[in-house]
Amino acid sequence: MIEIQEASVTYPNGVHALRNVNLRVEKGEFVFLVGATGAGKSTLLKLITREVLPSSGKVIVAGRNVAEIPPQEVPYYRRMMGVVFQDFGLLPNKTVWENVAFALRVLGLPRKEIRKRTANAIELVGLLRRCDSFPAQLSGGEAQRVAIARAIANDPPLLLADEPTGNLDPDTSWDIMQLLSHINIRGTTVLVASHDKYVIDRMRKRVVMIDRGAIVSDVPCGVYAHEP
Amino acid sequence: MNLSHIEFLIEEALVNLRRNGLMTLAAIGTVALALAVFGGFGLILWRLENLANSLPPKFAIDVFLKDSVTRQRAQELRQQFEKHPDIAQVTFKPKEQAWPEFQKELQQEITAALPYNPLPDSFVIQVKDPSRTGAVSAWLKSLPEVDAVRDAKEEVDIILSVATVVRWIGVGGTILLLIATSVIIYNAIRLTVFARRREIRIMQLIGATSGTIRTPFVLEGVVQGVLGAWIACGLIFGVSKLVSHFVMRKLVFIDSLGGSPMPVWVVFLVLTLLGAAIGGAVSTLSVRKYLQAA
Repeated sequence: MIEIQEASVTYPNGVHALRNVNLRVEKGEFVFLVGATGAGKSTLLKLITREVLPSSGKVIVAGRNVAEIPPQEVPYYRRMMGVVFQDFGLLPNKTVWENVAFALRVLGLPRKEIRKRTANAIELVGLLRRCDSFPAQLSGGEAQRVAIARAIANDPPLLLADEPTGNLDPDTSWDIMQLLSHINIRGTTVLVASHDKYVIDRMRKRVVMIDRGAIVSDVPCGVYAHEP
Repeated sequence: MNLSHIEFLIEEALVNLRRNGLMTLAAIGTVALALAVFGGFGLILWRLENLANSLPPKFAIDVFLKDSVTRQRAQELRQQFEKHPDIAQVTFKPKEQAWPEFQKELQQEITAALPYNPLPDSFVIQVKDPSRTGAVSAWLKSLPEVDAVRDAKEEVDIILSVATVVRWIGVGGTILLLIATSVIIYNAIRLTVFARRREIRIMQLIGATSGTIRTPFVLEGVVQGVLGAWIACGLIFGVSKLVSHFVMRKLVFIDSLGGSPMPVWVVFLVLTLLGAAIGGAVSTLSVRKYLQAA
């Protein structure tokens, strides 16, 4: 699904965000990217969304070298992945239903199909009764559920989450992770950047640790390891 | 692009306009004020131009005939004048008619003492193009039947040069104001886009094409521009009504000059088109910056 080969990223201000990173994620895997703030987790995810291009090395997603995707095709490339942010990234002027439907409407799907998929996605995250609420009226956990519903509404093969539980209390975080895990079981490849030790240790998933731009450990069924 | 997608884009624009109410109002208000100043300036210029154009015809050429010229000869001259390419209108003023007018103008006691009518027969001639006044009166002077010619060449020249200056100030001022108006509207609409720059990034990550992201913003800009233009029209017509009611009446001089009535629908059309064009163009510019970011 994802293959990162010797990828380095240097930002224009001279910061080396990633150095010679190698990572392979198979289809259907659930992977935690862990590490301190500023270690390079977000940059790694941005390589996959093609918000950032590698300064050197290669990023191959679903068999395509992302650096070779022409700009006008990037929107279509991004439709194969759902993205979830720490701050939920909901459109503030749209209701829960509209936020989820929006992701489908920009794809130009027929109305009936949009209604069906939107309802399915919102039902999956258990928020059908909040359909007409605006993001400001939701709790953090609810807002993140809506963001997840939007990310999976189009049934993308890949789901990326950048600190999805960063703003949530431990119980809510656990619920959100269970939800992501549930989506993973349905067949979606899930990549979660996090430093939520409590959750990671209980999930028993593959854990890739990044420190100062380099991968320092990669353990299947791992825990949030202490600094080596 | 199918019909339901177009419908989606329009719906997006309208919903955004409504839900970003305050921002929309601020942008529309700014557009309205900027266009009102621009349109008001344009109207004042148009009025001045009209004034300048309506003045010269008042300066007619008076042609006084020699006493020896018969009425029949005068009629022949009249026909000759009417055929002249530069002459618009010829009026014959026989001495019998000129005398009472003259007496009325002066004090009657002075003229009453005169035993006879000293005035000659005369023509009042209107020129088509005021700048040809000099040439026409020179030609008239050369005719053997003509005793004297009185024109207002100097006054006409002054008025014409004032009109030219006014016209150029008008053109320069209009261009400057148009730039200023555009910049002000650009700032207002840029703020509405800036407030929603995060939305643009979210839409990009969802996989929306640039066109899908841009179009609602551009439509919103056009709607803001047009609504602002309509408010500006209301302001302009309201203010000009007040001005003509309270000021123009006192300035009998200006009022008596007339000129055509205010071109209401021209102002409306020009401002509406201008609002739509500027609104659409500056939205496109504003969004482009954030579209390039990711």
